[in-house]
Formats: sequence, C-alpha cells, structure tokens
Amino acid sequence: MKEDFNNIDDIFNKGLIDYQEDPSDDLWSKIESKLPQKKSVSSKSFLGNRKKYFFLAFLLLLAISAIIFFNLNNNPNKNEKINSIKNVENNIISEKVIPENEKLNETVIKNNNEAKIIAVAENKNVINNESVNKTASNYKQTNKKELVLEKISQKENISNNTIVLNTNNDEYNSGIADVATKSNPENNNSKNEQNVPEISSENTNHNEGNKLDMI
Amino acid sequence: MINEKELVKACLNNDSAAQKALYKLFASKMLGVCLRYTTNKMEAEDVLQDGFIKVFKYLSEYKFNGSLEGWVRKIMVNTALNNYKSNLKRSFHVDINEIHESMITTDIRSENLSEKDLLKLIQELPDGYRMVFNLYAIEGYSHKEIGDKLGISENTSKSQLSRARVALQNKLGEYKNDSVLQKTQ
Repeated sequence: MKEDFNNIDDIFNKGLIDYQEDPSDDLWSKIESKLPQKKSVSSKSFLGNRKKYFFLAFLLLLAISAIIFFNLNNNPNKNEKINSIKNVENNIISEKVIPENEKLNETVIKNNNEAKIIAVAENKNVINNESVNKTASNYKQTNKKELVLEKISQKENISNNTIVLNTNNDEYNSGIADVATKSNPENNNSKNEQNVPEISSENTNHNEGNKLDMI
Repeated sequence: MINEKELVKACLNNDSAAQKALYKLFASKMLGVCLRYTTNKMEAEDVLQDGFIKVFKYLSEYKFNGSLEGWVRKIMVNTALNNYKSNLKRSFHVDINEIHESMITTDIRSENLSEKDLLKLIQELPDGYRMVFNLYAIEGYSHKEIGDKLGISENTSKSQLSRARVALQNKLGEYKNDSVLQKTQ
C-alpha cells in the first residue's frame, strides 16, 4: 500500500514538477499596472517635474517683476540725481567761465574796440553754449577751452605787443582775465586804433581754428 | 543566458523592460505551480499576478542564496496558500462523499496520463487535500513545515495526505478500469 502511495507521489511529482502553461497575454499589463513602486515613481516624477516647472516659472516671474519694479523706482531718482549733478556741474562751469568772459568783455570795452567786442562776444557765445550743454565729462574740455582762451588772449597780447614790448611777463602768465585786462589797456591806450582791425581779424581766425580743434 | 544578478538589479531600479524580462522568464513555470494549487486557470492567474507583484515588491530581500527560480517559486506557493486560506474563510468544507462522486465522474480516457490529466486530477481534489498533497509530494515539504504553513497539526497534515492519495488512487483505478474496458471492447 505504501509502495502504491509512493508510486502515486512519484507519478504526480514527475508529471507536474516542471509543468508549464502560458498565461494570458494581458496578464503582464495587469501586473505592470499594479506594481506600486513603478507606478508611484512614474506619477511622482511626472508631478515632480510639473511642480519644478511651475516653481521655475514662478521664480522667473518674480525676477522679472522685481527687475521692472526696481527699474521704475530707481529711474526717476537716477534721473533726478543725474540732473542735479548736471546742474551743479553747469553752475560750476558757468560760474567759472562767465566771470572770465565778463572780464574779457570788460577788457574789450576798455579797449573801445568795437570789432573786438564782436569777436569776443562770438567767442563767449560759443564757449557758453558748448560749456553749458556739456556734462561732467566735458568739464575737462571746458578747462581746455579756458586754456584755449588763454592762448587766444596771449596771442592777442602778442599781436598787440608786436609794436610795444612793454608787457609784463607775470601778468602774461597769471591767466586770461588778468592778462587781458592789464595788458590791453596799456597797449590800446597807447597804441593806434589801426591795430584793432588786424587784431579782430586775427582773433576770428584763431577762434575758427580753435573751434576746429575742439570739434 | 540572462545574467540573473543583472536582471534583479535592473528590476530593483524599476527598469520596466527588466521587470517584463523577469516575468517572461518565470511566468509559464509559475503558472504551472499556481494551477496545482487552484481549481482553474482563471484562479491560477490571479494567484500568479499577486505572486509576481510580491516578487517585485520583495525582490530587494533576495540575497542570491539559492536560485532565483526557487525563491520565486516559494513566493508563488505562499501566495497560493494565502489564497486557499482566504477562500477557506469564505466557504465551508465539502463533504468527502460528494468529492468521491465527483471524482468518479471525471473523464480520463488515455492510458498514459498526460500532464494536463494529472493536473486535472489534482485540481479536482478537495482544497485541503490538494494543498497537503502538493506541498508534500511535489514541493517536498515535511509534515511539520506543512502544519506550520497551513496552521494545522502534523497529524492533520498526515491524514489529509493519506486521504488525498486514496482519492487519487481511486481515480487512477477508475481510469485503469475505463482503459481496460475500452481495450476489451
């Protein structure tokens, strides 16, 4: 009886231990859909990506709005500051330039030289217009103009003093106004009025040359 | 030959292609196991599905001690036993006489029993007999192990096994008689 049982066991063991049967085709898709890890990972990564994109978009919006906001706020201030700086610079320039020109004018009046008045007035206009319109960066150029003016006046003096060599060297070197005021009266008072047209013509020529240099 | 280690590692990285490859590697064999513990293919596929989900869930616990197939097979058997236990809670025990009658009505005509015929005989056993017979005669567990797995005593396991054998022998006898009759006719 035991042998029969063992025989039965053997029959079924040998017959069924390696028994195989193909499952239905759709079984894997069922299993795949129920795999918790994969499903959760895929859905999380998708959601995660979406969240990341939203976060990045939000950051971008914040950054752009911040830039616009600060630009709007800062621009008027900056403009005001720039304007104030420009005004201060212009004032400084005009304060420096105008007195010097006024002094020049005075010298011209003293010389009673009508042609010279016109020429220097032209000079003044040119210098004033240019100096007022320029900003701080042009301040150095205005300094150059002063130097140019110095040269002009020096040349004036030189031309005036071609006949009379009594010019004072100290005065000549001390600056535009002083040189002009002090040297011209002596020269012009003592000299003929015949020199005047020559001087004026020279002045205009020099001014034109100076303008070209400045440009 | 597919390297099982690489396959397992890929599956652990949630590589869907590797998971499908692992499924394809064992699906047919494991369905054969599941069919022995169930009464029909539909039920067997349910067990197979649950079993593979467990395989992928607990794959990290496989430490390459023994074959991967043996590890997967154990999971399938345990899943089938859990399925049996859950069915047991929902149904009542079938009377042994009814089973005997049902076995008589089984139609097995060929002399050399095919694998499918043997499977059919096992599937027609009462659930309790089928579990013990499978575990003892085919899987090779001891009565103690079977008792632990099914939550029954060793003696109950032994008696279930002996009843299963009687049932199967009767069925085989029926088959032999039928085949002799067919030959004499």
